[in-house]
Amino acid sequence: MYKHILIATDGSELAGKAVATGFDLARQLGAQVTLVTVTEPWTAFVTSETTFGFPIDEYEKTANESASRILSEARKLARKADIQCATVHAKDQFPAEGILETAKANHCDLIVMASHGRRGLGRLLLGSQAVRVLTHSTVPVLICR
Amino acid sequence: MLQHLLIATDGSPDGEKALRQGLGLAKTLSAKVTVATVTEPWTEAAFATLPTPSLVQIYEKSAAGNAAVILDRAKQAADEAGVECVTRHIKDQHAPQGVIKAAKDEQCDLIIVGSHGRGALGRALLGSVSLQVLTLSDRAVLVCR
Repeated sequence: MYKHILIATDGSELAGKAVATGFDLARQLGAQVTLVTVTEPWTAFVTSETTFGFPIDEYEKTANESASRILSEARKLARKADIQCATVHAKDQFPAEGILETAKANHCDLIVMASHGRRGLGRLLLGSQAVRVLTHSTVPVLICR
Repeated sequence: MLQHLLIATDGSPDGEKALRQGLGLAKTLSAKVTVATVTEPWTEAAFATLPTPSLVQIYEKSAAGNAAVILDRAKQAADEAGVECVTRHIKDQHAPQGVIKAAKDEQCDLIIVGSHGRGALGRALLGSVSLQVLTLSDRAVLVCR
């Protein structure tokens, strides 16, 4: 069965479900876990409110802080669930690409993620990054809701 | 915790992949399994010029026959794997709706599908039925590759 599960999280509530499901599965399957959170490149982040006075180094600092907060929350949950897990911050990538590359680099054989992330368009029935991961992944993908 | 898995297969190679992975997962998780195969409704339009009543019967008979072959094989694989399994033939439904309905009726907590079925567009990166199941499902979906 699956030996190395990649769990993707952006710290959102729904991603929390993916983390919980991934941990459950890992425990029952005796699988290794890698947790990934992705932060986007600076240019992708520009909106009308943030364009001014938001230099790259400041953005990167914020991105690093938010990623390490998300990952340390997840590590806490892992300890609680008695799961050994590695964490990866994939920088300067779009979420789907970051998830896929991390899966590949770590030879993961299952990706677990939520149907939607933090971004808008929650009304969409399936989030854009989930669709991209599903479309391009060469390994099975479990989408949580 | 996953307790009841719905595996959807149309007997295609990817459907069989879903079956194998689903049974493997069920065995490790001690979950029970429902294997469903869906046959679509008779499409009158395609045969509008023909005297349809007898053709409908022929169609239904062959649909039931095909479903039985697929499900018997699945049941056998489940028995060999030592997994508790029931099979369902969902008639006269479009595949995604049939799969989702089966999962709801059987109160499954995970739907397992292949990335592609028998549909014509094998070159598409993600099959249309899998995509629709992912889009419309209110429960977790595992797409196998």
